[in-house]
Amino acid sequence: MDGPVAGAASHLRRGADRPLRPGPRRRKHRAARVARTERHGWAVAPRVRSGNGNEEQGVARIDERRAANRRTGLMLAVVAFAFFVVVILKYKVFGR
Amino acid sequence: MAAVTHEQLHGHHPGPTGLMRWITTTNHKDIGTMYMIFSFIMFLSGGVMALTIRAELFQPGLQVVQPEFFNQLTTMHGLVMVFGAIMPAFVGFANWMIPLMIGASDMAFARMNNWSFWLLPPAAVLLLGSFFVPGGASAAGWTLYAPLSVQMGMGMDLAIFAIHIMGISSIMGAINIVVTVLNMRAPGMTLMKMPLFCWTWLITAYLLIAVMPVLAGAVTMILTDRHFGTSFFNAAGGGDPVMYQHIFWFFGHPEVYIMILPAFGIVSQIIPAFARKPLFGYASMVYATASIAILSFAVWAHHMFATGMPAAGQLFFMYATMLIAVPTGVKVFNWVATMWRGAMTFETPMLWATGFIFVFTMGGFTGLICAIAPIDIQVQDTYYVVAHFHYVLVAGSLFALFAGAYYWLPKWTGHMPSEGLGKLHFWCSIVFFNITFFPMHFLGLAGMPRRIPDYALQFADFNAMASIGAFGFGLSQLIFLVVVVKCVRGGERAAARAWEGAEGLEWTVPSPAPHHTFEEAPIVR
Ligand code: HEM
Ligand SMILES: [Cu+2]
Repeated sequence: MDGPVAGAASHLRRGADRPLRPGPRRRKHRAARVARTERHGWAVAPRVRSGNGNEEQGVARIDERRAANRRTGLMLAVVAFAFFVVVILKYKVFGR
Repeated sequence: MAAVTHEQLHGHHPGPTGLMRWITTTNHKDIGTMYMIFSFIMFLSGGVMALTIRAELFQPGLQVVQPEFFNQLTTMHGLVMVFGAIMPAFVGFANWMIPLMIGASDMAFARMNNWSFWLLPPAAVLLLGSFFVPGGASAAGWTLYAPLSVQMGMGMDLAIFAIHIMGISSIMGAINIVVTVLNMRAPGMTLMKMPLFCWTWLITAYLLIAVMPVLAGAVTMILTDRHFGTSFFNAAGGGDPVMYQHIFWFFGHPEVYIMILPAFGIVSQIIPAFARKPLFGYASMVYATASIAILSFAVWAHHMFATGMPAAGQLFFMYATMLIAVPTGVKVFNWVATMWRGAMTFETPMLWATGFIFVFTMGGFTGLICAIAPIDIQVQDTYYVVAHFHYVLVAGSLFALFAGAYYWLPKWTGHMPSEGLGKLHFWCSIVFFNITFFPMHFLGLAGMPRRIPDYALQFADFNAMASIGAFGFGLSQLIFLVVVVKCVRGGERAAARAWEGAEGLEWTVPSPAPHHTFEEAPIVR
C-alpha cells in the first residue's frame, strides 16, 4: 500500500481492496460518501466530476463548508449559553 | 498542483513575523504549541505552590508560611493545575493532532481558535496576580465552597473573573473540536475509523459544552451573592450553601472525566504502536468512553456523602459511581489485551503509557473505596482523598500527557527526543510520585485532614516522606524541560513515521509536520 494512506492504521485500511460495487447496501454507502464529497467539496474527488472543475466552484464549495461549520458551531454555542442561563434562573426563580 | 490551487484560493501573503506571528496566528500547529507552552508554565507555577505546601508540611508545627497563606496556596494550586495546566495541555494536543489525524487542513474555526488561546494568558495573570491584592488570593479551596467564597476579599473576585474567562476559552475550544471532528474529516474517514484520541476528545468536548456553563453559573451566583444582594448560597438571606455543592459537583465530576478521557485517548494511540498490534476492542473503547461520559452526570453527590443526604440518595450515588468502574475496567482490559502477545518494546512513550495503566488503576480502586458511602464518611476530607485524586490526575492525566509528548515530539520538532533522558524522567517521576502520594493513603486512613498547615505528631514520618518525594518529583520535571529544549534544537532526525509500529494519518506527513498539511484531503479507504 502506498499513497496517502500508506501509514494509516490497519483499521483505516480495512476494506481498501474490496471490489467497488459488491452489492446494493455497499453501493448506498458509497453513494452517501460521494454525496458528502459534493456537498462539502473539500475532498479530492477521485475523478473530475464536471468539465467545469475550476476555482470558482472550489470557492463556492468552501463557502458552503464554512456555512455548515458556522451552523453547527452556533447551535452548540446556543446550547452552552442556555445551560448557563437555565442554571441561574432555576435557582433564582425556584430557590432550591 | 496542491500549492497552486491553494494559492489561487486564498492568496499567499507572507505572514507577520516575530511576536506578531504568534499573536495573530490561526494555524492549528502554532496554536497547539502555544497551548502546550502555556500549560507547562502553569504546571511549573502550580508546582512551586505544591512544593511550598510540602515544605510547610515537612514537619509538624508552623515553619514556612502563615496558615492564611497556606490556604491560598492549596486553593491556587488546585485551580492553576486544573484550569491552567491539565486542561490547556489536552487542548494543545487536540489542536496539534486532531486535524492531522482526521486529514483536515486546520481546525474548523481558525480565528476563534486564536481567540480561545489568547484568553488564557490574561486569565492566568488575574489568577496569579490575585496573590498580590489586599487579603491575598482566594483561599476557599479549588471547589470555592460557599459560605467561604461568599465572604472572602477581592482575591475571590479575581478568581471568579479568571474562571469566567477560562470557561469561555474552554467552551470555544470545545465547539471548535466538535465541529472539526464532525465536519472536517477527510473522505472515507468515518467516525468509527477515527483514531481513538479523536473519539475521546469529541466526547470530552461535549462534556465541556454541557458543564462549563454550569460552573460559570455557579461562580456567577457567588459573584451576585457577594456584590449584588442576592442570597443564592447565603443562609442568612434564605439561601443554601449545600446547594452550591450540588451545582459545583454537577460540573465537578464530569470535569474530572474531562481531564482523563483525552488521556485515555493518548494511551490508546501509544499502546498499539509499541505492542505492534491493532487496538483490542476498538468499538468497545468508543462505547466505554461514551458510557463513562453519560454516567458522569449521575454521580456528583459522591463528593457530598458527609453533608447528610437521605439514605436513598446515598445508595443511588454509591451504586451509580460503582457502575462507572465497569466501562473503566473495559478500557484497562482492552489496553492489557492489546499488549497481550504483542511484539512489545519499551521506548519512552510506551514506558509512560504502561506506567499510566499501572498507577492510574490504583487511583481507580481508591476511587471505588471512596464511593462506598459508609467508608467515605470516614475518609472524606482526609489525605486519603488527596491520594486518590493525585493517583488519577498526576499518574493518570499528567503521565498520559508525558506519554503523548514523547510520542509526538518527533512529529512536532522533527527530532527524536533523547531516550536516555526520557527514561530517566520516567523512572524518577514514577518512583518519586509513589514516595509522595502512597503514604498519603495511610495518613488519610489514620485521620489526617486535608488543607491543614499543621498536624498531630503521629503523622510526622509519612509527611516527611511525602515532602521528600514531592521535591524529588518536582525536580524530575526539569528533565522534561531539558529533553524538549534539546529536541527542538537538534538530535537524531525523525522519519515521517517516527516509531516503527505507529499508525495513522499523522505519520504520513513529514517530520516535522509542515506548517500546512492536508490542504488537499487524503482519501481514506
Ligand atoms: C473509578 C473511577 C472513580 C471513582 C469511583 C471515583 C470516586 C471518587 C469519590 C467517591 C470521591 C469523593 C471522595 C471524598 O471527597 O470523600 C472522589 C474525589 C475526587 N476524584 Fe475521583 N473517582 C474516580 C476517578 C477519578 C478520576 C479519573 C479523576 C480525575 C482524573 C478523579 C478526580 C477526583 C478528584 C479531583 C477528587 C477530589 C475532589 C475534591 O474534593 O477536591 N477521580 N472520587
Ligand atoms: Cu467525582
